[in-house]
Amino acid sequence: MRFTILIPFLFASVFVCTQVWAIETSLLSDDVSRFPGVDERLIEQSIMVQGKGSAMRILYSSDREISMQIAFPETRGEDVIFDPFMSLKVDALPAGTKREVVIDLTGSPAWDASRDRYLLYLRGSEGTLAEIEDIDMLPASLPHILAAVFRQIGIAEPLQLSSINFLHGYRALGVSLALILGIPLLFIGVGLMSMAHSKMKHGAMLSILLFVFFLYDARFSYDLLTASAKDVYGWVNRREYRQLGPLHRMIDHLQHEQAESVEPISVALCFALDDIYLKQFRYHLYPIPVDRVGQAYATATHLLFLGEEHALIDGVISCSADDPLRPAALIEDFGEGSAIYRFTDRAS
Amino acid sequence: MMSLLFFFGTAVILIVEGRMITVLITRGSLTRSEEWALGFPMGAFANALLFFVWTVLGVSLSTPFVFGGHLVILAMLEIMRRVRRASTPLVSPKLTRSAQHDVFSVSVFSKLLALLFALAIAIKLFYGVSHALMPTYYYDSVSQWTMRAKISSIDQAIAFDTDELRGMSKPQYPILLHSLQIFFNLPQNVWKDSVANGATLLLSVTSFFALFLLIKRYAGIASAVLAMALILTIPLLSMHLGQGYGDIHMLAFILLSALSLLFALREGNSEMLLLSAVLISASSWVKQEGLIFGVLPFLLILMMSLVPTRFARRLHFGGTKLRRTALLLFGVLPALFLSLPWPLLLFAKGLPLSPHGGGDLVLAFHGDAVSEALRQLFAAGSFGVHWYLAIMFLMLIISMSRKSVSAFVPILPMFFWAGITLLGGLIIFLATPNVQFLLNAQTFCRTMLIPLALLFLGISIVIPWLCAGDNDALA
Repeated sequence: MRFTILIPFLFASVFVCTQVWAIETSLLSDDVSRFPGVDERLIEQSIMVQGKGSAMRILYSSDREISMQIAFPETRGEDVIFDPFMSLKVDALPAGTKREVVIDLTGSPAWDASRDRYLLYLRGSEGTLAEIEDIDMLPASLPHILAAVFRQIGIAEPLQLSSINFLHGYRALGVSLALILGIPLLFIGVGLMSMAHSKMKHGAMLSILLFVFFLYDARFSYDLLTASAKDVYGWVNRREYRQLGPLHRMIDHLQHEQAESVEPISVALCFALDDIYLKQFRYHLYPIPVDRVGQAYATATHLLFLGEEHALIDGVISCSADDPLRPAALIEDFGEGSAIYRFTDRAS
Repeated sequence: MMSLLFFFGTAVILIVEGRMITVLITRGSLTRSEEWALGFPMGAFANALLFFVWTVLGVSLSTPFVFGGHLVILAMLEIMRRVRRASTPLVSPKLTRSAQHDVFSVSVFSKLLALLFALAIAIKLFYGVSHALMPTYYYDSVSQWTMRAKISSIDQAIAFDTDELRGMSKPQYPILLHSLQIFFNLPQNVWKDSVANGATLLLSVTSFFALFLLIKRYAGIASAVLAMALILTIPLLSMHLGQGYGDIHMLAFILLSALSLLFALREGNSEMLLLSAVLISASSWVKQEGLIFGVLPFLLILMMSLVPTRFARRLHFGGTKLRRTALLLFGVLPALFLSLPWPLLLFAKGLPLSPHGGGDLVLAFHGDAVSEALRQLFAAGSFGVHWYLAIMFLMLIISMSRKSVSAFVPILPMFFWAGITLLGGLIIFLATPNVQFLLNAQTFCRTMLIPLALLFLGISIVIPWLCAGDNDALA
């Protein structure tokens, strides 16, 4: 009995042991709540890696800093697909010859001990010379697998734009937590139903139902609380909300400018990001007209850059080489490729 | 500060107006707290109808006309109240209060359970309140829902844009939420996003509070707490407490209507039937799905009560004390009269009822999508373990009430409603071109919230009764 209190410590030490030797990875789903900023032009190579294990040891050589991504492909019919949100990412791997990196694969909810296929992406800036010298899989021990279960259930639900339509849910060893809890629940229920002692079976079943309910709810509530804290903090302190980055500060600036200006303003948006950014600008700035550069460049009074490289050269600017240069003045630079320019010629 | 004062001032107008309508409809069947709790949802519906009438008449949706309209409604309601009080004394008895004892006062365990349920609900509400006050975020909000409300507010007329030049789409969406957001923004100097989202949050909170009070009356505090906990903790619904596409409001109206219908059928109370008809019509003014998953099942249940077949009698629909004329006059006709004007307006304007075009009606079974439907229901995050819980609770109910089926017979219309919405939903997403909204996970899970919440409502009413061993209490 007295040893039972050691169980949590045992799990904790196993968990720590599995973490210390592997390089820090992040899930691609973590990136969804961040403003993408300027998209760096990268070259990419992919390799299919075969083998079972809980970690991947990679020997590489590169003349520049590189990054790696490991996806967990699945075959559906004739297609090989993977969920990008469940891919692991390792950034800023240093340049060098025959450098070793160990990537803990259990950090992705798509990993399970039976998996024997991975897709490894290698990315670097243009001109990078990189080579994979050797790859081997480190076997998964029972402690690794147990630790992976806790680690994967601990991965937060990625709250994003699609969360209003569906939620991904939690997974452990590639299986949905809802399924892990739900299927045994059904079996226990059917088993209890066939028991004779009705009062006892009803009490037991109700207790199990409530236990499962509170267990799942506690996990989800934790995510709701942390998401609330993070979102409120970001909004109150930086006036930023999830992946929208400086968008609301830019909106505030333009609304202020319209209030001060006698002439109506109109905005052309230079961006290559998701359509939601345009919709956000259009809603929050309405009735100020906002459109893509392609539709509004010639008539706009303002040019907005969002996650795009921009520079005023000799007092003129354009969104792309296809657009004519127009004289403009920088109103404010919000960083991460985001800025507001006012055209100084008369809008035609 | 002034903005907040205007917000609450506007809310008070709708609460008072809605409460007066509720009193006129229910004629003393409800307690004061229940009438006040229903005030805001009913006021929001009255506001939508006012916006509709002004739209049809071509009256500007400006502050004087909208507030003037509400003043006229309030005056008319007051006159009707006085005339009614003078001419007809209250004939309808107060609804029966649940005779169930307060199970939460029985043991420490029960109290702890109630506390845990309250904590689970509080966390969801915290997420809802904190995120409702964030800027409008989701795709359809900034292009269809709040965007259309903003454009209409500036136009001082409901926008029916058929192109996306101004950034809005789906002009056929019904206007309950749009008109609510516009009404709350009228006294503000400029369009305030937080005011618009605060108004819809208020509708969610008051609707579920009214539901809580009505369940408490129907089946006791234990049922009310259990229902709130089971429904509000559905993971996807938690997301909608903050901001959303009207699904939570449509659902709340459906649940309120279903419960009022149970009251009406159990007690032969035609006023509650009228309330149920009004509430179900309100659901169709939030989203067009309200017509399919709200009004249609409501009419089907009433039709089955009108034609007392053996099946209907077995399901207790035929056993109601309500007369056929009452079912028609207080149920079928008001539901049709109040829910059809919007589709008729769309027809008059040449707009399709469905935002996805006429192809919605082509039937063809998509067997390859069954696995995705099952995955979304049982192995993803939208519902967590809630569908398993619903199945297990149903098994428990069947097992516990073997000796006395009468315990849950009055709740059968609720389970029937849940069943046909589940079946209807599966047909829509597996046998029509709407399968695309299952495969791209856009609408399927939101729709499936309706049968699940209805199931939980029925389960929550029955379980505490069965646990208390009071099997005949509901009959």
